[in-house]
Amino acid sequence: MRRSLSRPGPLLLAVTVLVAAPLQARVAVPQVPARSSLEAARAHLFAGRYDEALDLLRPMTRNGRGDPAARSLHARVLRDRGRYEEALEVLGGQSTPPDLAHIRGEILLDVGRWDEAEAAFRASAESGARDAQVARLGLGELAFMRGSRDEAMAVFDSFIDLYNGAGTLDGESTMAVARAVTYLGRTSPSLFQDALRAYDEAADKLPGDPRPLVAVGDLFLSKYASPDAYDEYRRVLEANPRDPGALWGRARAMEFDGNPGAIATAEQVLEVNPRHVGARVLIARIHLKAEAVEAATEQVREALDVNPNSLEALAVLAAAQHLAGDRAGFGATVRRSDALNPSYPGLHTTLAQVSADTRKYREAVEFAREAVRRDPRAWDALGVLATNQRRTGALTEGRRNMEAAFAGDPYNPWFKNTLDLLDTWASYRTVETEHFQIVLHGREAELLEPYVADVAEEAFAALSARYGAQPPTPIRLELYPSSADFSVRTLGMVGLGALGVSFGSTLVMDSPSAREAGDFNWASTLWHELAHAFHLGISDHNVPRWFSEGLAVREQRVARDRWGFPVSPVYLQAWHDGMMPPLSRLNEAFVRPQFPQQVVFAYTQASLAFDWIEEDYGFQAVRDFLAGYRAGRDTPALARSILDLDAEEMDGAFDRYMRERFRNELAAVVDIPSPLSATLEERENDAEVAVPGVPVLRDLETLRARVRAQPGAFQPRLELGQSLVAAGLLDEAEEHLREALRLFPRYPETDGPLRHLARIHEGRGEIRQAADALRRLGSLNENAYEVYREEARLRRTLQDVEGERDALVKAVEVFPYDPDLHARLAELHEIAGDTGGVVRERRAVLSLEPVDRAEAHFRLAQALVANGDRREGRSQLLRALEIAPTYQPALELLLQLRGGGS
Amino acid sequence: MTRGALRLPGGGATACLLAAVLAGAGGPILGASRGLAAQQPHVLTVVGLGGDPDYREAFLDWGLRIHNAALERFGLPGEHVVLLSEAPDMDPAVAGRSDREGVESAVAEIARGAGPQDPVLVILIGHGSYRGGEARFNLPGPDLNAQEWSALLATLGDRPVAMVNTSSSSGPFAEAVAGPNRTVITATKTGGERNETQFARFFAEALEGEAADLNKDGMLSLLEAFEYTRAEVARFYSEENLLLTEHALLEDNGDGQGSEEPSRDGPDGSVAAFFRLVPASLAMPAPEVMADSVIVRLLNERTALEASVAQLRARRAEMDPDRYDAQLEELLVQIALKSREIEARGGGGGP
Repeated sequence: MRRSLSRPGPLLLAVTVLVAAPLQARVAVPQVPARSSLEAARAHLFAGRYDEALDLLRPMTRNGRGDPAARSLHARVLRDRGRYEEALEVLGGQSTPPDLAHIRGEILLDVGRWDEAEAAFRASAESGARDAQVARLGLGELAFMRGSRDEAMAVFDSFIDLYNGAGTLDGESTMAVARAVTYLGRTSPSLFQDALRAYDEAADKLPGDPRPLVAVGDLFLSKYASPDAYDEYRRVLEANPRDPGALWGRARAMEFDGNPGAIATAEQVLEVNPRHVGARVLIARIHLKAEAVEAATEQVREALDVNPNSLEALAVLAAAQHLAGDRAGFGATVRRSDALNPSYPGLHTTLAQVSADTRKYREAVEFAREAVRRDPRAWDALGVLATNQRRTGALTEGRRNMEAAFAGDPYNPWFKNTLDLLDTWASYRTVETEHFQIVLHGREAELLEPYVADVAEEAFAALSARYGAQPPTPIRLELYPSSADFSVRTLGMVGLGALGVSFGSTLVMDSPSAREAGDFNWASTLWHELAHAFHLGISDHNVPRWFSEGLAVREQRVARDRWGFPVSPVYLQAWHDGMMPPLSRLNEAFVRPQFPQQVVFAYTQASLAFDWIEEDYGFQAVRDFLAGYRAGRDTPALARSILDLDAEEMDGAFDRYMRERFRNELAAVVDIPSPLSATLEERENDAEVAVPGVPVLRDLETLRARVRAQPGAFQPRLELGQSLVAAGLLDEAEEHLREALRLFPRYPETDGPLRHLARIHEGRGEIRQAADALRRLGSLNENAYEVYREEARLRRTLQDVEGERDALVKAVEVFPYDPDLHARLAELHEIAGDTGGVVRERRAVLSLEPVDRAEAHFRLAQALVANGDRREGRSQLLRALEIAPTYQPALELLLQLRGGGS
Repeated sequence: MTRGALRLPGGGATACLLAAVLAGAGGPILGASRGLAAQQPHVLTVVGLGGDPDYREAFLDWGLRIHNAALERFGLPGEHVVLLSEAPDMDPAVAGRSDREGVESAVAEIARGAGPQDPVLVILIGHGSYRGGEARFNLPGPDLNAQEWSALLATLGDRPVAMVNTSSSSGPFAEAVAGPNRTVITATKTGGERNETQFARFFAEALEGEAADLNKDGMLSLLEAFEYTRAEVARFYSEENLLLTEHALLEDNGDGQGSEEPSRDGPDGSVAAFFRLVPASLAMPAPEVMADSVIVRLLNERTALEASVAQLRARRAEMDPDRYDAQLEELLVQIALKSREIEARGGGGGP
């Protein structure tokens, strides 16, 4: 598109007169006196003083008469407030003159009266009225909404000719050009830049008018540039903090960024215009994402009351009905949407996204496929299809579709990130085991393969035995050495804080090298994600999130007592203080947490629920739940039939279980202020307590006084003990640390009583007691890498081979990248006669590329031979001697293998 | 493995003894080697300006460790091992001040006293700087820049010379000092790597123990010392959760372009692989052993087999893996049998 030569003429002059006052008004509304009532009214509108604007406009437009400019402005003010019917009356109702008909058409579109809108646009367009181009655009948009895309695109395309062929266009027509070109961008993405320029031009021609700025913001947001979008909305909101278009844009930008304030901002829109369909649909969509189906339905029904033909609202309604299992309602909504536009892709795209949000990935594929069938240029739908194909194992097709989606929408960062990640897949290696395809980065595949394969197969066997069923195999397990890559694989974006994700039979997670040693336990995470694969497979992806998460954590604990989310004092305080939802509503804490820690606490609480269910009802009850979910039943119905409890009874029973099980711990933590309710400053002070190894320097007398005041409280005891250790008063420290331990025996953190007691013991030369304290702590915490290593060091001093071996195995389980650790473990396995273990550890040493490779090959060769694998032993021996041909022990082993050994 | 009463160097050490008959196995061996080699190596360790007490102490400690390893582990005569420091009174082992005059004087002394083929190893420990395209090693008083060091080393004539500059910003020394018969090791890749380096600490470690003897021949080549040091430096940074801010180079083919991963197959590394330090424990064969013509013959044969292994290894990429392994195994078995024979005759089995 080229800029046309400017030819000032009467039309331009007219526009100039119209917009002169708003320009001044926008710059400094209160200070600039209006030159006429109309200009004053416009100034009030642009400043958000709607009532003042209406007071001025009402006398000018009485009885559907008056100056068209005044009626147009009056209708606009009423439209902004959602008073659509009054706006239509102001324009003249059925007798609206042609030069105002395009505005009538737009308002009729707001309330879904498409046929009347078309008539109004046509009347304007055919009359040659001043804003006939705007009406023509309306006709194109209406055709697009009805699915007549070719017809619509032809209309939009003509706006390029209009721009290039005409002289200077007025502001409204330039806006129309920009809007038309935006539609054309779906086939020619570079035209988005032209649209941006046209909007800028329109903004120059309509100074003070917020619409071009809001449109630019919307354009930025549609191209995923939310910071730029915020800038545009902010410019509008600085002049009018109540502008509904800018507020709606800001709300969408916040939703895009995952900002929880999106709903509140959308509600600000509704304060100005309670009938704003877009804001209602946005709120409904957010509710739906949080699986709050009823709230979503309520919002969307209000939207449909205003505009029964809102395709976006119908899409959300259909998704809500689908989630609620309302098949009849769902079918009716789809038919209603199809009657409006049989090729509308948005409904099925929404369904696909909601399906993916609720872990129904195959369903998401089918919905997205249908969306793309309806509109092959629905790039978002194609992206959703590609993403979920890759989640469900259709890797080749998924990549092909992702490439096509990116070609259609090259601004999309999800598509680009994903394709960039796929380009790195050549560096990965796939290892096949009986039930798994394990995908590891080439640089760590050799190291991780034996550990990952062992844990994966062990977990598969254990879970198969427990559930009596299996998910579809092979299970694809991908481990990424970069958290960013794992995040992109999962979401298309970096920033996911999770450690692993299960898409059913596709598991994706951080490899142990993705985080610092001690940050997480990859084996435990693997077990957790595999448990999800079982739950999703057995329930046909109908299991609710709280159930699957809690049960997966429970499975971690069943596998290893130290695994899974621990029960911390802070969690118990939160539970006791009513900061956690009851069991029957625990899903809310996962999908719409009320405070940051609530999700973590929800994992703990859900897992405790399965402790309770399994203890009181047996594991068969869990299996029955999963079967029930598969059959489409919900949690309350299943609780009634399996546990013989309604929701309230179930909550009560679990509450009693918690109080009984944690009676002592609760007594030790509930009478002191929770860190969650503390001020920020207090929390920061508390934070110093939570840093392992950092001495806590507080006034000892103050701490002693706290303990005297609350002798049965855990936290004061711990803090006093820590401070006494820091002060070197070890005997007194021991007394308080032991009491803290008695009060909360399973305190899992590494700054707790056990760690300090271990140090006190070691300082006194009581090595065994020190090692035992560390072992006990290690049994409560799955990530305690340094604790395991410390224990191993002490066990070595004690010449406790089994103890040292056990501690090092735990350390390797957390972080397998220290060659010294593997080498020592190999020695211990050798002493214990575990020849297979020796081979595994020697392989690990070699895979870590030690500087002394000859030695590493030789040691592995020895291990292999001892384990009965002479063939590979010989091969490794040759690799050693290839580097060091005179390496005497290796030469001797070679002769032995040849039968010439002495 | 049992050793005989007499200690004899393994194949690698013997390779030097038989250098005349072995293609590609030449190069200096640094060690007392009284009965084995005519070369009399010299080691000059220059500890530069510390700047503050912590650095001064650390630099001297590393220098002393290298100095002591040369004397004790490698058995070099005291007059061939010189340590200079900014403060000679800090330790009795320090022979003089490491200012420009002291350095020039020490090099001149080596040039005067060393044999015409005696190898010279110069090790710089301290801070380096790089400004305006000029890299310097910081000395008390006026510094010496890379070109001046190169000119100074030129006074050593045709002797094999190795310089190990462990300082920050030492990268440009690779190009400036490179030349025929010279090996240059720098702790950093460029002059822009200005942070404190750890190279000297681990280079000292390489010289002190057996861990850096990567080919198990009982000797320590400069290539092995470099590989060991580079790996341990990387490990140090990793364990400390620090970004690796020093990337060492080795240059020995004279083109001025150092390699981060040299190998004996080149382009850099083939000279450094044979610039070797021989522990005193290996370099002291008993005269009666060397008088045994059978042992000498066996040693020669084993050395020839080692050369065959090297040649085979060079052809590995173009060979069928099974065939390669079979041929390799045959050669290695022969080496093993020769070692047994040598040991049976009291010559020690190997390194």
